[in-house]
Amino acid sequence: MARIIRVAACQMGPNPRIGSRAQTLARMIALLDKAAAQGAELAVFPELAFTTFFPRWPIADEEELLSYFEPAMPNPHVQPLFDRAKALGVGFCVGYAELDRSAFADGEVRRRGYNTAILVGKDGKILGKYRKVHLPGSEQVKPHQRYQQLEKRYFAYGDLGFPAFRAFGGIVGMLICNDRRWPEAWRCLALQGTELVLVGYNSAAYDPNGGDSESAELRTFHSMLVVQANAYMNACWAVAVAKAGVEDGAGLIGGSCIVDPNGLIVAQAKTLGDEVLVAECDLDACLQGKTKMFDFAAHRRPQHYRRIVEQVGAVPPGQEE
Amino acid sequence: MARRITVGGAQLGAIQKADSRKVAVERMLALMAEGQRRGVELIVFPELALTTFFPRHYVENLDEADHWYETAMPSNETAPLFEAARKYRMGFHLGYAELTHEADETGVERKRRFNTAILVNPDGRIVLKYRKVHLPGHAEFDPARKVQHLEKRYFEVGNLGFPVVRTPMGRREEGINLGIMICNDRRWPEAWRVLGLQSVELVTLGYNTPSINQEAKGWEAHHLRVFHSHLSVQAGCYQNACWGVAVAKAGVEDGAELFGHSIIVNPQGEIVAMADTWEDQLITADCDLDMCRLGRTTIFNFAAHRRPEHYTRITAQVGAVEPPIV
Repeated sequence: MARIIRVAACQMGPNPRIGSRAQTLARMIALLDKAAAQGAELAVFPELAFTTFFPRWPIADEEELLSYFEPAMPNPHVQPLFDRAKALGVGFCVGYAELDRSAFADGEVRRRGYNTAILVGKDGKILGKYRKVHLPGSEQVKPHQRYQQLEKRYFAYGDLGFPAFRAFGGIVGMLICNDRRWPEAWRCLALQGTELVLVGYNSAAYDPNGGDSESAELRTFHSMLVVQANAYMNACWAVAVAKAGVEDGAGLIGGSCIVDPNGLIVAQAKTLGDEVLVAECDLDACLQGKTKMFDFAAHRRPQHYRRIVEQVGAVPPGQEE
Repeated sequence: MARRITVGGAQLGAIQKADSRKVAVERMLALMAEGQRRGVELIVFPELALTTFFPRHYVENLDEADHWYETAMPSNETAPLFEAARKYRMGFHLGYAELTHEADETGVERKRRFNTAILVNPDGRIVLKYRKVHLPGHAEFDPARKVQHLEKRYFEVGNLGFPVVRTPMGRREEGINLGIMICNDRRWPEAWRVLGLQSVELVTLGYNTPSINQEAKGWEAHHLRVFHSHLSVQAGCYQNACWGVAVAKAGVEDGAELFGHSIIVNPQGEIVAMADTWEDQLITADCDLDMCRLGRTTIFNFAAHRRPEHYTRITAQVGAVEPPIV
């Protein structure tokens, strides 16, 4: 009585800043072909898969900034990916910068849209959309830093919550990059019965604060730790997919992996480049956790969780109002 | 200017049904003496450290189980732990079954039972009490199980929330933010987060966890049990930028196996010390509390990055609600 879905994690190597769109799309189609050749029904691409990770720079030129955003989805730039996926009968999940004119009016903070992921069915139809809630970094450019992390400057906070979708014979949710470190995000998906979480990321391989306190190894460990732990604690499968390698001089961690509801890694990337990992995910393997240790209805105690929704920042003891 | 505290995880081997509290306390005193030799300032004992894990034994009438509970803390039997704390200038965490006569939510005073843990400071004063919120298992005898797990029968859900106290401990006179968890709580990110939202720097946690899945529902490879315990604590510490000390009662107790593998975890989620027996064993680590600051001021700067407006499901619903079929 297994409900098996064959999933491919399509890790990507770096996308250079200049003139790469067509090349990037060709690489994505090659990854899709590989995934399909291995029988995958669903291919998962990283966050901001069509472009470089542009929030690492202060970008003064409006035309350049807008060039990283997709005005519609699909659009002529990305249509070949949709066409090939439909021809192959493979669904996919992909992250991109979504242009949204309503996010423009922000004064000096230059929000141009959302950091978005979509789930596309085997027939090429968009089944679901998620806009990143946990934007890391800063709104303002930090002086004396080689690389910035300006997601809060260029993107508005996601306004769709953490939606779960019935798709591919199960219940599927999407998270983007930094979201995976936030157990609140996973829990909101699991509280909708989510069985498969798809996560694309671009994560710096260096200490983003300019120090040397965190190495690429430690940051890769953190990435895997949170995916494994949250897959376990929410009794779901997880597919975490990197854009990896040295992108325009800035290192990105790899560590793409497919994780089962026990938190075990069942497939793991070996490179920092374009690489396809395929795993058979039995969605019924979620039942053990969902009906036992993590039977939420039997064991959760929301009356004691109020701080999670009633306060934003930490309030140390003795400093309550 | 590191803010260091030397912490001990005092794993206990099995305590059999026939063992007296006196025997358990003597074993704990030996671990405190060992801790004193190693400079320990705060020592952590497991959940239900004074008795066997009695929720594996069914009784029809709960009153017949009163002898497993503490009605006073300290008591004649546990007073030596408090004396040792003063003598060694060593704080301790102790888990025990608590029997009390208190008003319940409806205002009616009655006999109440909790799975409780306390933190005692080097003056022998109780500075924090926590009553377990996430009670696993079941309330009625389950004939399908080889071993019962009747925590939902023997205990009420804790009514103290997840408190954090700032208090001097060991040589840290300026105070440390300390929080407590018990056993199954460690698998619930909500519990970690409520502590994290109070700037907890060190979480002390005791457990009694069977090394095999005793529920006759589904199958779970035995080796995953320890992995899950470690994974939950490592992620809880990392995601809340705090230290964690997770301490087992281990070994074969009344014929049922409990795993050991007690650990001390840093705010990066790394295991810095681990027990390698199923017996009484002290593990220690020098915990630099300032290590919490990196996470807290960057990736896990809650004030800058949390979005509670999107977390409403966490308190608005208990169980999972699947999306409608369209």
